[in-house]
Order: sequence, then structure tokens, then C-alpha cells
Amino acid sequence: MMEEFDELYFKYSDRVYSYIFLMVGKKETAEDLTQETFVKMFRKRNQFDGDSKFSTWLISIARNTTIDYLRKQRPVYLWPFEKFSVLSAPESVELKVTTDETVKDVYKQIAAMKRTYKEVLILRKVQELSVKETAEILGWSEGKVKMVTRRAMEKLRLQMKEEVEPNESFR
Amino acid sequence: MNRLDEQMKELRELQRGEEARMRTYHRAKGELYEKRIPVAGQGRSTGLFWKKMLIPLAVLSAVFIGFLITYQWFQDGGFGLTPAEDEENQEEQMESFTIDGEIDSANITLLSGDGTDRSLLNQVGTVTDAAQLERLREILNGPSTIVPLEEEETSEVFETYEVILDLNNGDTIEMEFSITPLKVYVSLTDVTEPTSEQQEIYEYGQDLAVHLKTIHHEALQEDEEDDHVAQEEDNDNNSDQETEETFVPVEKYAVFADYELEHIGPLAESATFLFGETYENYVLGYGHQAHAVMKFEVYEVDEENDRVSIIRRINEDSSDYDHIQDIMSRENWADDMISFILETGEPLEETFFVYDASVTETIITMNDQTYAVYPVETGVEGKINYFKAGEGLWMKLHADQMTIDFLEEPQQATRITE
Repeated sequence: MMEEFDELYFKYSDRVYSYIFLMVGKKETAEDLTQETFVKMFRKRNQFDGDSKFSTWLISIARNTTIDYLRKQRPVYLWPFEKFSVLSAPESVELKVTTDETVKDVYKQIAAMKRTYKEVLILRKVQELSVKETAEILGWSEGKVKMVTRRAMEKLRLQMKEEVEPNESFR
Repeated sequence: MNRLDEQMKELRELQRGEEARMRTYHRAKGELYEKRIPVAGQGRSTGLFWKKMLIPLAVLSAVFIGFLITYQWFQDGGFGLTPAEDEENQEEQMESFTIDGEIDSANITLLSGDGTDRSLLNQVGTVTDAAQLERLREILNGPSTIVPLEEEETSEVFETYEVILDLNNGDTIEMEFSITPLKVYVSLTDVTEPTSEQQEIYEYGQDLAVHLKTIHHEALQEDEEDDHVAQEEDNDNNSDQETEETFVPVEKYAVFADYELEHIGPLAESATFLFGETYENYVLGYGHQAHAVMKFEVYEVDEENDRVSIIRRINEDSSDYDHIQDIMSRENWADDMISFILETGEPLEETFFVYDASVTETIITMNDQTYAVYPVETGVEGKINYFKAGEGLWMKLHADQMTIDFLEEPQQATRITE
């Protein structure tokens, strides 16, 4: 039985960790929640009905675990300026995501977005889930997923100040 | 697939180190293994207990759910105003747009402040080739107003795009672009109250706004039968002339242009500004501080004295986190957020911008380039905001004692321009 766990863990844990890390922004917390996600998954594995892909089901467990955590976490007062330590502030955000500076910028921009945008971008664009899978996980209609994804992408592009060739619009 | 999409994919499986991966693995496995050790008879008796409790629990659950549904029904007047219903409407709207996209007609509609509406452009037609597309581009003042396609989706998804333009005179122009490969449809929307997200999209319509405003005035000038509207149009023209002739510092320095300031430490920040419908003199600004926390600020506009002040500030990581999230999920959330911050935030008085004719622009060096900017004393000793004409907040100088204590020398947070 534990072999089954090993297989699932090593196949999916990096993906689950990445999803959670993008949501919470802290390495240790992401590790803890990844652990919790896999424990929950394994205990509930008999409930997986096969209607969706296993990875989609797993990400939905990761999402619920993360949302629970975000709701419960103690407030962290980093603002106003007077209330935080300069030394601890940069460490509170994990910026060493990757050596690629541009990708790091993308991460930072996504991390600063409101939760609906952040979630839909992580699922659709980072995890590359389909519209249907994303709708399933978020409990939205597919139309809403498409609409919010588009708006979030536009917002991200604005933030990234990415030059968009106008003619690309009509290819 | 564009570059941004590729970069986002790289975040899919972040490198976290073998040690971390194995530590999590062993902890998870340990937790599972520990729970799997059976205590004599416990698993069996627990199972029997739950089997016995299953039916009563199911009955209780059904009663409770029934109560909730009844309660919700009475509270919302038959579910008429529930958020779920709003989402459903939104979905239906998207669907109806898709259907609209199939017809060979296109409208851009002006909704006047008095509730009447009139078409500005009709029968632009369905754009199916380059020539027609060019025509539409001319009409709509350039391609920059059309959203770029997300290529991987266009083969299967009927893309739609809304543009809501708030004109200076209070009128609103609403448009719907439905885009498929090689086809662009423009159709009438029935959106009467733009959501904050639609307001954000408006940012893409800046050039378009100028052009449509011209169309707006031309259309009104042609309508000689409607004296009332004609009078409004005259007023608009007059106010436009006044605007052109009158120096408005808040406009000149684009005080409410969204900005992002970079700093290697905790002084990085950003702000996006939203204008509510209820509050005339208050503007909502929200963004990150040090990429660590979302901050929300209420700005008070004193037009008479060309002054904009920050009068409240809260952050998302507070005890009101859930409530803030709830507000942000609403349509037109700017008004609700302003109300909430006014109620809960501690009053403060921090000058964001003020114009004094005796103060002239100064030259600053930023990232090895020089800029002419207008300095604004914020009222906090050592903190100066610099605004660049037409661009907005360009740099913040933090030369206050606290910054020097922490970071040893004055700090600059500078505008990210690319």
C-alpha cells in the first residue's frame, strides 16, 4: 500500500508544492501543506471516482488545504512601516523561486494579485489545467473561468508592462 | 503561445531541493503509518459506531440543510439577490454574447446619464478579412484597443471582450468585442453597471476613449431635435474648452495613474486606483507593499486646493482578511471597500499630492537617467513624492529618520517603467 503512496508522492509532489507555494509564498508553509495534502489524498483515495483526472482531484485537495490555512492564519502586520522589521520583511516573501529573473518577476506579479486572479492564473496558466478542470476545482462555470482568466492575463500583462504586438490580436 | 505563457509554465514545478522533498515525504508517510497502526478492537468498534450513527446523522443533516435553504430564501426574497444568482447572470450574459456574435450587426451604444440610450455606430458588420478589419480599426482608432488573442484558446473558445468607457460628462459607452480567429464582432452589451474588473479593462481603451468621445459629440451635434441633449452637448463642449484652457495640476501630473515602485528592500510598492460611484471625493488605491502584503488606501481629493491626501490605510493581512476578500469578490467593490476602510481604518493625514504654484519642477536622477519632476512634501518629514507630468508618481524619497535608522541612508523607491 505504501508503494502506491510513494509512486503518487514522487510523481506529483513537486507540482502540488509549486501550486501551494505560489498561493502562500512561504517555503516552509508550502512544505507543511504539501505534506497535509498528500496525507489527505491518501486517506481519501477511495473517494476518487475517476470522473476527473487524478492530478485535478489532487490539486483540488491542495487548494482546499491551502484555503483552510489562509483563513486560519494569524494576521501578520507588515504595514504600516513602523510595525515591521526591515530585516525580516524581505525574508517573509520567498523570492528565490528560480534563477530566471523574468520568471521571478512573473511570480511576484502573480503573488500580488487578488486571490481570484491568482488562483485562476495558477490553475490555467501555471498548472495548465483545462477550462473544465479549472471550473471544477474552483466551483465556477466554464464561462466565468474563461472570463476571469482573460481579465487576469490582461492585468498581468499590464503589470509586466509587456509589449504586445497589436497585429497578434488577429492572427 | 506568447512569452508570458512560457514563463508562467516554468512556475509549474519549482525546484525545492531533494532534502525538502524527502523531509515532507517522510513526515507524510510517518503520519499515515502512525494512523494505520490498529489499536485492538478500536477500528471495528469505531466502524460500527459510525454505521449506527449514519441514519440519524443523515436526517439531522437534511433538516439543517432545509433550514438553511428556507432561511436564505426568506432573507434574499426568493434568492433574488444572492451572489450565486449574480454569477449565474454573468454566465448567461457570456453565453448571450456568444449568440450575439453570430449575427451580422454591431453596435456601440451611448448610455446617457438620464437613462436614455442611442446608437453611435450601427451595422459596422462582421469582420472576416483584413480589409474589413482595417476599416474597423480606423473606426475604433487603432488596434491597440482590441485584446490580443490567447492563441491556444482561440480554436475552441469564442472569446469576448468588454470595454466600458466612462466619459467626462458622466455618460457611459459600452461595447462588446467577440473575437474568433479572423473574425471580430462588435455587439451591444446590456451591462448597465460596469464591474471593477471592467473598469480595469477600460485601461486598454485610453486611445479609444478619446476617439469615441469625439464620436459622441459629433453624434450629439447631429441630433437637432433633442434640445435637452443638445444643451448638454454644448455644456460638454464648454467644459471641454474650459478643461483645455484651465490648468488642472492633478490631471497634468496624472496623480491617479497606477504605479509600481521598485526598491531592493521593503519600500517597493504598487497602487491601482479605482473610482467608486458613490463617493465623489474619495478614490480607492490598492496594491502591494514590499510584495508582502496588500494595502488599501482611501484618497481624498480636494479639488479647490489641488490636493490629494491619504486619509485611511489598512492592509489585507489583518483580522478582517476574510471580510476584505469578500468585498473584493463583489461587483463594484470600490465603493464597498471605501466604506469599509472609512469605518474601520485609523484616520491619517498624509499628503499624496499638492500643487503650489511657487514650487517648480526639479531634476532628479533615477536609474542613470534624468527626469523633470514635480516635488511634493508629504507632511512626513523627509518623505517626498515626485510626480512626472502625464505619468504620475515617479519616485518616492524616504529620507526620514526611521528609514535612515533601519537602512542607514535615504532610500529611493523608483517607478518601474518597463
